[in-house]
Amino acid sequence: MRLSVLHRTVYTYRQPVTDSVNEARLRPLDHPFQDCLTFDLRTDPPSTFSAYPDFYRNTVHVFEVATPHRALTVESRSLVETRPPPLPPDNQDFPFEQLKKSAWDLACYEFLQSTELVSCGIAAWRLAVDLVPKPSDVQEAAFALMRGTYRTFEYCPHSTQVHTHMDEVLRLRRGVCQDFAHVLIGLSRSLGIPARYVSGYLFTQPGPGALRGTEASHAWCEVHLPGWGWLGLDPTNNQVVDERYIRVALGRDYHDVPPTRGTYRGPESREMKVEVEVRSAAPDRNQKPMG
Amino acid sequence: MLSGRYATEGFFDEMFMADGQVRPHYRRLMERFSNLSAEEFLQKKQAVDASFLRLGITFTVYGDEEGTERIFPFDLIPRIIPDKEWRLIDEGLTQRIIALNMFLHDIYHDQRIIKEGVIPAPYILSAKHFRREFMGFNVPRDIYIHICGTDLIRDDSGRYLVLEDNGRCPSGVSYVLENRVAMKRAFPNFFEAAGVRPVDSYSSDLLQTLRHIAPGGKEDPTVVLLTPGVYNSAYFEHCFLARQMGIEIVEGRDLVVRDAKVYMRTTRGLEPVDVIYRRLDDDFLDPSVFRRDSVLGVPGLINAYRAGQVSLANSIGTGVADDKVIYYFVPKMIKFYLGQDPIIPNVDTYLASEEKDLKYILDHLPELVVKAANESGGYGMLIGPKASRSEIADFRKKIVAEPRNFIAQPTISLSRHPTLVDGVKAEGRHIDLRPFILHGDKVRIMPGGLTRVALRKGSLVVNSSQGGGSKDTWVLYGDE
Repeated sequence: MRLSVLHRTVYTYRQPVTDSVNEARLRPLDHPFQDCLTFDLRTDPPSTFSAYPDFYRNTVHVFEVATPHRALTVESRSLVETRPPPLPPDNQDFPFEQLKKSAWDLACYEFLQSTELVSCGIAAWRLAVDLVPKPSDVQEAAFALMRGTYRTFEYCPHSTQVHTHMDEVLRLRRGVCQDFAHVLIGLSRSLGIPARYVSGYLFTQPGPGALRGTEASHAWCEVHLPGWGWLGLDPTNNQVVDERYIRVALGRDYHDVPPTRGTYRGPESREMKVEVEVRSAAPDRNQKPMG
Repeated sequence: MLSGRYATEGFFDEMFMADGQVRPHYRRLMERFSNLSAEEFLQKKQAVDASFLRLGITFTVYGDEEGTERIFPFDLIPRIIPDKEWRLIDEGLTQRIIALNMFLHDIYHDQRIIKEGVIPAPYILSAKHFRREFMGFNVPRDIYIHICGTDLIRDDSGRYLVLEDNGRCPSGVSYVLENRVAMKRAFPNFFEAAGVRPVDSYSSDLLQTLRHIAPGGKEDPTVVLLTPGVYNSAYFEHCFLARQMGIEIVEGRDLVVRDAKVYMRTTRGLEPVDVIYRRLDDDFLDPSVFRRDSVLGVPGLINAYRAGQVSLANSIGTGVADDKVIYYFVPKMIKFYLGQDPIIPNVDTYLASEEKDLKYILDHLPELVVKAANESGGYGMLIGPKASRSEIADFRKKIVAEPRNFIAQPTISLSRHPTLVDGVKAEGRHIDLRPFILHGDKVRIMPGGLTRVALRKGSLVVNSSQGGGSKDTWVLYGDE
């Protein structure tokens, strides 16, 4: 699937601010089931960018706006080719006992811990064992947790903030896609299933049956099936991640992958407006790639 | 003063052997001191104390209600290390700093030491100061720790052991330099006769180390010292070192980043900065990357560092090596990277996160010293033999709740040194040693270091924040 994304964030300040230094994680990842064909990042006031790969191989762009400004626009446009991610074979079992190895695995260890916004403590564990009383197969358990999260929690835009902790969400029983992802991550980790946070975009046709979480950037999670790999699960929409999902960044929780973060000198209060548009961009048939 | 009544009481004493004989490298000192009357001695002591007060050589105690600044008590009887012992220390510390640097490079690049099973991944990934942000980053000249303070102790047989490494912002070197100045003033003619190696090249060695890492090998780089400010416990030292090196001392607000270059605000406008000797922990360096609430740092500094426009000493992410759980693995690192056995061994250490060790620790709390993995300055510590039952019970809970954050060691009977108490009487007090290691174009270790002494009778805690004092440390050219 070829998809184009426009992601625009506008900050407005009451008074002019200066010395704004920011990091942006907006470039879609390149990986076996997704190519980022083009990526264009610009700001207003204009700035120059440098980029580095972070610990999880997400691309981070860094930019400064030193001069006084009342508004800052960060706009990214990307063109992405996605392919359906593979699913584990129907007949493959993932017995829970195999998870023991994951706990010592470099790739899994930190996706099993409590992190800034996700707790895999007693509250998460209680809900998890309610949903999966007798865990035996990791994949089955993960699906049950996803269904449970989807049914137990109410999707409710603006009910939480970006820094809302998962424990708070467990009490509120509602939230946005970020909270759904955090909850499923916490529940999975509490049972010993490595789970990580993915931020990105979801393409959906408008109209009835439209999916949730498409008006801004989306978030979901990936769980690790021992011996197979990471499987994407979207608890907000209760479905397995497919080619309509564009992965931008992954981390332990939202704090590892905010689309933009930074500091500036000036009054604290500001307004933020985010606009995301994901469209189908059918490939130009006259220009088929060679070979 | 150092009369026959001095008792070693079964401890390893630096100056006296068990039979009361003076060790050979203390003989000249003994002769000189024997010629002094008690009165003369007292006079010298008072003169030294007064000069420290005048110079404002103080430190700050956190969490203390009474005035925060205190004088660091100084003891007039110097600690002496003969050449043959110093050679061993020098070699051992050089070996250690090289291994630590290789370790830091490795965990921020290929992670061979994890992949080959020497250190389990969880210990690195859960290290509080492991900086994920700097994975794959190449630090200038591939040096991570430029300035290291490694604490050494001696056990009851006189064997030197490494107690901990301080690879972030070790402090204390200014006391070493000031102690020497004070001693020279008190005993002007004695140093040459005693064959004491000088320490006064430290500042120029430090500057050379800092200039070595200038971006692009710049010839005449601008070096500054970045301090958290006057409320930091080591602010005196920051001023002292900046003055000695003839460089500017700056706070975060004095620096500004433009187009990934760092500048210092001056009365003549912005001046570019090439190397920053930062005495500020990673967390506070740049609010746009690390702690958002840091007002001490410089927004954009990390981006400038990443762009290779400015160098930092020490590099970012060295705190992993300070983690006391990682300390446990240093001998294994030396073996892994250098194929050598450690010249100076570690103190035996138990990791609470290993099931077998945990059981041992919990069963033996009254005998052990328990330390929090990421605290320093003698905070967050339990000394089993000196602790009350409720303190032990308290620690037991903490350890069980967070085993990754605790290690335990047998209570080492630290070596003792004659130390003045109540004016003119000498009694044995426990000491340690913090040598300062510089790693630039080569490894340079200042002869000696900071000898800290636990002034309270029987106390094993030498930290200045916990009632410790210091001594001048003499490394001799020879062995007598």
